[in-house]
Amino acid sequence: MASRKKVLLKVIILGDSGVGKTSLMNQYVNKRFSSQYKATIGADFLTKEVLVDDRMVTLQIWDTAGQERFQSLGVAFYRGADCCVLVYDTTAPNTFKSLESWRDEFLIQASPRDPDNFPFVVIGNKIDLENRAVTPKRAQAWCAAKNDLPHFECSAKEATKVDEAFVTIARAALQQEADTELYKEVPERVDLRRNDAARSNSGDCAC
Amino acid sequence: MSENEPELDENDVAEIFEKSENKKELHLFDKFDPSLKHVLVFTKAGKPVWARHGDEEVTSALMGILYTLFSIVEENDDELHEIELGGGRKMVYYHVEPLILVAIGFGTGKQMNFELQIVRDQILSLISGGEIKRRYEMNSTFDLRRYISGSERFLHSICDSIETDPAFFLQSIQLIPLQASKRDQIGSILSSCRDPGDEPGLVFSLLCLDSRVLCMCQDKNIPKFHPIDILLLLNLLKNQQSLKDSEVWLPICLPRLEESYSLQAHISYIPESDDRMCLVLISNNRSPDTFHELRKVKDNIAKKLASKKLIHCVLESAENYVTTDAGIPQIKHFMYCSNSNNQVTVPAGFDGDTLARYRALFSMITSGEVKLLYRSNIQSVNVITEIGMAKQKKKTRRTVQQVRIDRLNRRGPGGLFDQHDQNEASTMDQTGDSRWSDLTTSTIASTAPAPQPIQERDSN
Repeated sequence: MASRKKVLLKVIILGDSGVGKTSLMNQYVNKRFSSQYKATIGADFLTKEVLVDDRMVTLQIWDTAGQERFQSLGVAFYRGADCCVLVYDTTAPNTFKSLESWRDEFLIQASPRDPDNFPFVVIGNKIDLENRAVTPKRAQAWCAAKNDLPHFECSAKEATKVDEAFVTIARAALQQEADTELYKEVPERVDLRRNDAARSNSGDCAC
Repeated sequence: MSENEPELDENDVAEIFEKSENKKELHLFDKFDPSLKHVLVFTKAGKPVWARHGDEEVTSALMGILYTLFSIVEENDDELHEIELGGGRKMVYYHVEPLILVAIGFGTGKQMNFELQIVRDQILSLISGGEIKRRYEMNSTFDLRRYISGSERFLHSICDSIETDPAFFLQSIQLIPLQASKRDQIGSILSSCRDPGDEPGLVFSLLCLDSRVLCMCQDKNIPKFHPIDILLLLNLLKNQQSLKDSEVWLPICLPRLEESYSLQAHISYIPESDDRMCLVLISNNRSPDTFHELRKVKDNIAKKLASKKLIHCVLESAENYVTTDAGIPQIKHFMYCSNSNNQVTVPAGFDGDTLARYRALFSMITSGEVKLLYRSNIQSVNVITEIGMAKQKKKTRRTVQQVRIDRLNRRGPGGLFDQHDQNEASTMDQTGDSRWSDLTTSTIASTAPAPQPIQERDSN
């Protein structure tokens, strides 16, 4: 019944500051790139409609601040996310190392129902730069160890693989979302009287 | 490209906000027509549920920001209720787990909060509060928007009604005018036709005409149906013309009565009334068998209405309800609200301007001190008088017109305001069932037999 309806997915982008989270989002949504760095304060929000396997999906992308001073809103931002994108800078190994703690942080704060299968997508950004320091092999090994997370090497600047990565994100989130559809538990007969008893203290209950 | 991470101090932050590119959040408000009243609904995960105006791209981003503001305050163990936007506009938050509703516009915080409550009630009538909570607790990624998609017209319509229908701000039901004796007859038909099943579930019967109430009866053992719940039912009838095509059995939550679960409604139109009269039977028994039992109830009621020739009589009475029916030529228009019954009667000749005036009057009168006021023209208040009924309970909302109508009531001019002694005992006599009460018959009829002619004079 509900499956034909348009789906909205909340996507969180995490990673150290300066890895290019905002740039990736801007490239994806607005097809724009600015080389000027500016810190995201708190979070940014953008929406994008995308067609995934014949289903129209609205991605509500939450671009968070990488800088710790703006991190106090963790729980509020992570709550109810359908997918989490972990971003690192292929030229800065420490940003890759941080992925582990970003992932842990997310799982603790968002506490998804099934943490082992929560959809993460890993993006190594800035492959247009020459001074690469994180090899694809190393990144893939880490992703494989974390239950085969999809991994993309992108350039927000040159738009390399950005669309592809986001379609994977949408698909992963959609999968998660479809799994939670089955639920039904309602009593056949609704007792309206208990309200009455509580309100007026009239003890007579004739059913 | 500046790769290094600059450490920001407070000044830098301020500077970033000053740069126009970073002010896009603030510009979002500019995309919102300030003359409109905006209502935005999202979940506790910041996921959009519904917006009254604006395209999705803008509203979805704005909801992210509204959610952030809410969360910042919540981080400090506090709750955000209201933000002044300047120029008389404000932003009002209403939060009941797991939904956050925000209204943006002009008006008092109290009024906007009340409107948000009704919007929430309307959402809950589509998917019960208990269901929303259970789904959200099970999975915070729960996308409520999908469950109300296709039903947005109910939300839009109720928002329009909040602004245009006096029933909402008075929290009352507007009744079709009808002779008290006729209404009693209908009332006794409704309350005598009960669910014959082994496990009767029928708790409420409502007869409407053109989505306005004619008569309603309910099981006395449950709390009295709240006018807002009945307005939700009327909103459903008004906006779902397809209900006329067949008998319908649909789940509906009446949140003011019970928000945890949906009840079941049997809805049918009476063909003899040209599909204008609608019977709604509410059952707390969701089993499919109940549908067949209620169908019998409906057949029975329709048969009795037809045999007593009440249908034609009602259709006739519903036309041409005008102010002069009250028999006081000096009155240009009136609105009478019975607080004890939560019922209001409003003759034709009513428009947006009239409503604005009533609203203004109403807010003055509910402010506390003023009990009666007189204006010789719209622009200036000439006299504000305290009259001697300040201490009487439930009479604090009377306007000049209402006071007059009350007098009129006592006098009993006949016709619409038939002098009719209507108390519960007589209802029971007629229906022969003390467990079932008629909520409508005593609307305008008075119990005070004091037919003193009151000299109606211009308040000058």
